[in-house]
Amino acid sequence: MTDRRKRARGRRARRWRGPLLLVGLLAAIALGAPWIAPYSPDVPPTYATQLHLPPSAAHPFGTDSFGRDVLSRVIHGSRVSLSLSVAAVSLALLLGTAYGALAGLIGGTVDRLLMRMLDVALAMPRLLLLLAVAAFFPTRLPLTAFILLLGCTGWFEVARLVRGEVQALMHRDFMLAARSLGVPRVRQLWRHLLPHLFPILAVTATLNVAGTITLEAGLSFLGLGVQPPTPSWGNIMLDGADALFANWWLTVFPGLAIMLAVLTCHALGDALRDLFAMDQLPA
Amino acid sequence: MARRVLTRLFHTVLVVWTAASVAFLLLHWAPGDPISAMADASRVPPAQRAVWRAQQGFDQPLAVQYGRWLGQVARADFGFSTSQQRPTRDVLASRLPNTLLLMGLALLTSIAAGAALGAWQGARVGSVGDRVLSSLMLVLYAVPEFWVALLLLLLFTYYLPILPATGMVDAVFHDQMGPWEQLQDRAAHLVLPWLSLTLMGTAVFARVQRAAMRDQWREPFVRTAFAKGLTDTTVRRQVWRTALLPVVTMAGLFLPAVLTGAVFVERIFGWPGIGSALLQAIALRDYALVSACVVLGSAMTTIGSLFADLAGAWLDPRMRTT
Amino acid sequence: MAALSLILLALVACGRGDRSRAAAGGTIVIAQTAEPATFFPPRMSQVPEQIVVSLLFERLAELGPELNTIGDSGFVPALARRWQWANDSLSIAFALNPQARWHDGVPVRAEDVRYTFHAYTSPVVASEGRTLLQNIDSVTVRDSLTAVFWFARRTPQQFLDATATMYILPAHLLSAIPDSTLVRAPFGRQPVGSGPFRFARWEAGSRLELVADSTRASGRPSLDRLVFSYVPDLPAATVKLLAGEADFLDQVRPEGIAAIRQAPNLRLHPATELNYAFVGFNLEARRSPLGKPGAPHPILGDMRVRRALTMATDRATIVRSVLDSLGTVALGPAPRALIPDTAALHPLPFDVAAASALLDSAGWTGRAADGTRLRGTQRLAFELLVPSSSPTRIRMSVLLQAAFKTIGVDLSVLTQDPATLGPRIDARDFDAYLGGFQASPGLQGVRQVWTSTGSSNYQGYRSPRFDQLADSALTAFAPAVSRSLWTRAFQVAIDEAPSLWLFEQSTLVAAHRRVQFPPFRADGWFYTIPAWSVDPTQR
Repeated sequence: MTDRRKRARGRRARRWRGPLLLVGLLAAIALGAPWIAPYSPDVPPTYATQLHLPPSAAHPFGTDSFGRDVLSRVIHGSRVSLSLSVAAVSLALLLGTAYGALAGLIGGTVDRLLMRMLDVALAMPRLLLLLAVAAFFPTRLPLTAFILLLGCTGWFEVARLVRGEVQALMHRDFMLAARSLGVPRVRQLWRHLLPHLFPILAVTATLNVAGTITLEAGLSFLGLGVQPPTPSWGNIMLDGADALFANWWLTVFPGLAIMLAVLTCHALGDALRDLFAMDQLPA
Repeated sequence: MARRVLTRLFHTVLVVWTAASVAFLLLHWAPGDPISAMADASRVPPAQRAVWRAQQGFDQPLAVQYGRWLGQVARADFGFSTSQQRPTRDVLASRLPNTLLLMGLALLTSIAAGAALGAWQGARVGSVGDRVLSSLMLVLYAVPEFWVALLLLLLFTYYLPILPATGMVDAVFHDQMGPWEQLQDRAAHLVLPWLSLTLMGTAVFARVQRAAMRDQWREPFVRTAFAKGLTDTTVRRQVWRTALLPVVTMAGLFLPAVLTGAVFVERIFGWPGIGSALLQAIALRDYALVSACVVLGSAMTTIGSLFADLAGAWLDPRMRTT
Repeated sequence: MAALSLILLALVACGRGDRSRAAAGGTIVIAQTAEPATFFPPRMSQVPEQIVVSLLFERLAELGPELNTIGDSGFVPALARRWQWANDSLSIAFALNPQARWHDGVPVRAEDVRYTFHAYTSPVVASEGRTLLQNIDSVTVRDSLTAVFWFARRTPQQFLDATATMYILPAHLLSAIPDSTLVRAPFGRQPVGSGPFRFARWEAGSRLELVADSTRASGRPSLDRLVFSYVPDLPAATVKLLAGEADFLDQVRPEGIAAIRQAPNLRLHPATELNYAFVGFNLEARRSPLGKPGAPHPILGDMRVRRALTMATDRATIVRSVLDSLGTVALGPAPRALIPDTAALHPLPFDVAAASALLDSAGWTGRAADGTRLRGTQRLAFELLVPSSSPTRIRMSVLLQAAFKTIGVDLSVLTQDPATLGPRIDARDFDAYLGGFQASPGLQGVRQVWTSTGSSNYQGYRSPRFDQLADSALTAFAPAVSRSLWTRAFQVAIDEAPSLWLFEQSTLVAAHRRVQFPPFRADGWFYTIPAWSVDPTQR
């Protein structure tokens, strides 16, 4: 019995090792970008002599149409792409949890009204919404505004999940007890509901970060995301889109970086799901 | 049941109307209008542009424009598309079938391939084959669709030029071809856009199906079935049928994702669908066409989730009461 | 005698027909990245529309290859067979080709010309060309084949005004439609013209097909069919060309040159384009009203700063880096092909030290922590608007940013889609923008954009010297006088640097070697399409 449990724990540890290693790696790259990257991500003074170089020992990922080292830009881009996604998802979780918990806690007409509004929000295809807002923004869309935009359009699903979960929890004994004892609502949420919401929030977070990384890349690829010359993974691809056939390295390498990051998120999500013994994906 | 469908339909209309109104207002509040979006607008003196603006009513108060637009939509007339210079209805009529063909085909093949792969995996969870496929599906699930599309384009039209790069049919010879060759021509043009959308879809459905199968094997009825002496194949079929529910639900919920994917894929492969028209319409501030697309998109999303609900109820009697 | 000459004429006609049939035939596919929005000539504005309209419709006369715009010298008859000036030069009578037919078989008549003028000048049709027709008082019908243009004033560009803007429209199909609905009439999508090609079909978003009008009296085009294939972007267009799915691409990007050179079936040909691009500085405070002098811009109102910015920019290297061999440094507010005497102009030199000295002398002597120059507490920093629709300009802007940094100028680049950018430029709510103009022969656009009274003078460039020289140049009847006045005007625009004159894009077109064509016209490669042919052995 103990043997089996030990083996199970060993298996779980192995399951954790991979994702955690990857998360550590990505975090290290993003945080240490200025020290890790071989060159600056900006236009070098000698740009005219090193335009469109294919991958080589000096420039493993090649150079772009400004003579910038693509490896360095991918490394610096990880900062932008990852921090942006994490920040946007954090915001979405915050908003979604507040909204969902509010609806679930109060219940009744308020709940129904809030849910109807949520239905409307959920019915708007997100990409469309983002395209509309990003394209129409009157001035420079700074990084913070872009994060706000992604965060504010990303919480609807979270709210729905949280509200469902809260509603289920409300019928559990401990909540019934808390309510009959007259525990204030804020405290109910803070002390009793949040700990139970944690698993679903954690798993949702990993999935949403993955989705946001892809979304950012897509929007930047359409020229509506992060403003150049700030590198982000989608941005680098946009630089290469003009010359897909001549400079394939501008498309391939940032894409691989995105793949790595998204895989990491999924692996982490799977591991978390195992940890919390959740069978179903939060859809 | 009928009443429930009716309520849901009414609900759908309400949701679509609100979503479209929000989009309409967003569009009009944004700086710029179809006139300012014209290429080289700066070449035309401002006074001239004011005339154009007045002609199309873009200078009227927002409430007036909104009222006019609502009236049009109520008559299923989506107004005049400024980016395409023809009634929006005509734009939809010519573009929507192309998008639906691409999306429908991609959705069907993703479900079929995903369900088959997932079922195969679900019956042998943990085997080498399962693990290899799982990793593959995870990778496919992780890559952005537009990147896959770019790579396919690079591979099959440039390095190994065996497929046409853009469009739906051969620009020159399509009309001179026989029916069979025309079909081949269409198929050849469809391969890459379809594949770009299908690869990720397959991964999504395979993952759902596999998880559902795995869970179903643990259900008591499986043990009972084996105990009754039923053969492996019979039980497997039984399990597969019950495990189909999440896949069907997913199909409804996956619709918006296919729509999003189609926007990118149409853009990259020059597929003359609604997605590529939409991107152009947004850039050119084509109020009418963008609003129409939002109506369509949100209708598709709500109908998708309605479908998921109803299909769920139909497949699993236990869900009918909820 | 009459009968004999008729028979002879018929024989000649037959003979010519036969000969042209021998050389005629074949289909050419032109890959394009932008699609026309309308084929209604008064409302055409972009190049894809110009191309198709020029093939479907006819003007009264065409510019000659040397692009002369003064008087009528060099002009080639088109729909009009000949023309006659009145003695006072205030009217011109155009005699139409009696054999000209609309594609539906109805003959072209003077009434069509009169109607065309009405449509182009109708306020509700609101054609872009209206402003160019202001000197024409009216068009009258003298007889069924003679249309007379009446002018308000005698100007060197009278003939150009009468012929360059208007493509003649079929009155019998359009005059019944009220002007207010003309723009949206189905005609705009199913045009009927009198040009060398007929409209066959248009699958929006995908392709447009034109067929030769083989019954045309004034000669049919050599090609049988012309297909425009619309693709999402240039890389895709290049691939289509490499794969043999298209025969012609009108804009080869620097990245595509190598691949096309290697392809055995493709050839590159240079084509001029009459464009020029610049960093346009707002010389007046942001949001100053258009057309009235405003307060000077706190930074860019100073000529020394503007000159310093130009001198700090290694324009040659920037243009070469972005455009490879497909661009040249712009000289002034017109493309080289339209500048009479380029050798006489003296551009500002690339001299970083001199640029720094200029900024010092303008009082920008302080330095902020990040190296940006200061005057008192004001930073030498401004914003550059760049249209997101132009990858070329986006690239230029990144390199400009790096160049300005070397002299302590902090340029922030803001890429915006044209729809957002347009209103800001209209409202003059900008510091600088990376703009470009498509110029037309005759340089009339210069007055509209760069003179004090110009209706599109968004930058607030008000130079009495430039105004006077440009006005004199536009009203001079002697070509030599006009040329020397233009040269002096452009030197003023260089010295006063209202803009950093950045680049002219020349185009390389790529064509399959089976396509044979005469030299391109400088104002548009597409004007010679009717004379293109396909090598019969390679059809």
